[in-house]
Amino acid sequence: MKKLVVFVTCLVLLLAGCATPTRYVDPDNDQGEVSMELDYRDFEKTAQETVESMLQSGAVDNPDGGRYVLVVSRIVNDTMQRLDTDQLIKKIRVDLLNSGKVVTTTAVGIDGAEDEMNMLSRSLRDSDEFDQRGVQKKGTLQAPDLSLSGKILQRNRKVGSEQQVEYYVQLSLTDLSSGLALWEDETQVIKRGSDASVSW
Amino acid sequence: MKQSICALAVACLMVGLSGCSSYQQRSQMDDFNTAWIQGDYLGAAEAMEPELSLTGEDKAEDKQLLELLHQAEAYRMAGDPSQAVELYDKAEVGMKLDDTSGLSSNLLEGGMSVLINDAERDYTPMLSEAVLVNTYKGLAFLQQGNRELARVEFNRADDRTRRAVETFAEEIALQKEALEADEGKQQQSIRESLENESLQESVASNYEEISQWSVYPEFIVPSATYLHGLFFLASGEHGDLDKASTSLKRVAAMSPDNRRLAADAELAEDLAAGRTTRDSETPRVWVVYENGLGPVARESRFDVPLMLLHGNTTSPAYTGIALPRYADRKPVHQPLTLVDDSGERHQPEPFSAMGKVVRTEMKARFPAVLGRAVASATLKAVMQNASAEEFGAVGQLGSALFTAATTRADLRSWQAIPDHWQVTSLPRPASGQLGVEEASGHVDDISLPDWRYTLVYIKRPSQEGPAQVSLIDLEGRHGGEQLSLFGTKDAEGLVADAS
Repeated sequence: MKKLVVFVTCLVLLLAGCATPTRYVDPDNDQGEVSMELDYRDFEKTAQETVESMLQSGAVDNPDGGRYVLVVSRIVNDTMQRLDTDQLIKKIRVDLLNSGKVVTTTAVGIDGAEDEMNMLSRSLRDSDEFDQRGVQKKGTLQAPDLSLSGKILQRNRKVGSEQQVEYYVQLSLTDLSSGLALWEDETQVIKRGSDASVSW
Repeated sequence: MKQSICALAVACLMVGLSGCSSYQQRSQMDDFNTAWIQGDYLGAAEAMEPELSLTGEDKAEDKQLLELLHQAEAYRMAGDPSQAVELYDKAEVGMKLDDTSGLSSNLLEGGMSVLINDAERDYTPMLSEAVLVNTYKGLAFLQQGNRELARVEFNRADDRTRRAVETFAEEIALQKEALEADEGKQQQSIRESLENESLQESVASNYEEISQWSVYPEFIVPSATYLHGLFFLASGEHGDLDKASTSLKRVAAMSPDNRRLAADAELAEDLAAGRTTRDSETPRVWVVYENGLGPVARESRFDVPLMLLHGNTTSPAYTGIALPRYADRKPVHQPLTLVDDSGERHQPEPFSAMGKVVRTEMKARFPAVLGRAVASATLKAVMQNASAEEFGAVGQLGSALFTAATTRADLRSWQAIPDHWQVTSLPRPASGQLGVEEASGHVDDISLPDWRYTLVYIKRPSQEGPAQVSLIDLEGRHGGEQLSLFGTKDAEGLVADAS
């Protein structure tokens, strides 16, 4: 009986020891397993390449020396993954802001303002409760000069006995005064892995 | 003597367990179908409540896949798309687990299926069913006005269709590989049996002449491909029209007599080529009607000659095998007609017969299904011989009983899918009123929301139950509406009587 108790205790401890421990991951040096889905590493790489391409093209160099105002238009997720396209675009916006050449407006957007407070704060104009000196004046919001739009595509194919999943992040930067695309780029993320199941 | 009793006891236990689970499944499906036919969709969902595991917790998703599929569609029909999506998501997790579960679990399941029958494996949906999971999920997201996630689901449905053809070929190749890799006596017997002309003749005469089946030239679930095409036709996003055109042309080619499908393919092509524009087209209403009850599997049992090895010689032994044979159930024969402002009548035209879809898939998979049935029969025949030699008459009797009781086909299927689909389309009536007329002449009016592209999605499993109507904005900008037409009161009465 004693032996049995010792055996069971050892087994439980062994199994507990086998449980995967939680640990921190260094995003700059993550050698963890790659999945067929788009993950944060792909977003990081794509955002970095996109911003480099945009800055190198000179499309966001304002000849007057000021910063362009950018609005984020629709980024269509045409993949088989439930992606948050904001996650990718946020990285691009941060890098562009840090470049000092572009600032993003949150006052307009394809599905309404990203930050509704832009308009809500202006609804205080007629309120006696607020010190009107601090209330935003008319005509202070800045209209966008540039619009960023795009699409994330996914194409799956069988290569030998493996499955190849190809993601294409296609982005366009449009000059809103002329309607011309000043810059366009496509970043590819290609993955190859098991074909045992679907890629999502 | 002790060993004989032990062997018999094990055999009886396995037979008992196998029989018990089959009975439970049948009873659960009967309850589901009773409620489903009457239009009691919440009752149908309740009937398919998955059992808990032995520890009292929820079973893994792949162990409750069949229940999840039925429940998800029942909730969609009951007008609860968010619950439907949640359950369909779990079903997809189950399908993925089923595809990717470890080698040991696959071997165990494969061994069980050969030793007992295919019904002992976790339920693996037909590929056509998997395609429909994503299609229904796409519709549920559209119903919620979520076009982003609807797009993801229609893309998934399309990818599953692409994978299907590869999967059929792989399944057959894997089985062939397994038989050729092992040079054991049993493998040799199975291989020789499958190659034996007498076995093929026996299957042809007792089962069905598979070459005579009416099938599509390639694997497709036309309704899923059609809805994929319709979604991308309406989306208005750059680049989507090519996808729409490809899908709609493909569906039209599969049903050359359906004028409506041909017109949609032409519209998509014209839009893609710039011959017409969305703005110049009048707002349109598509009516897609899921009609009746889809096919179910019935068992077909017959004897086939197996080539059993005795020493160095083979001799044929007639043994029973059981195969699933798909039988059509009932469509709703009474037609539904759409009546517009001017009194013009629009009759939905049939396409995407589920029986034809299932037979197309079954024809491609048949070599693998037959292979498993023959492997199971061979193993049982060898066991029977060994038992007779080892334990005499008792052993022979026990193994014969075991064989008789476990030779069963896997008859499980998703029974919430229809007999066939029908489709028509018309310009949106200026009044916003669309009449839906039954054969009896009774007309119910639907108030159409003011959308550019409206999908009126009707599903009616039986004449006894109501027609569930979903009004869906194909552009996905607005949440949809759900209503019940015809038979609702009668159906409630029927449910009350039944309970």
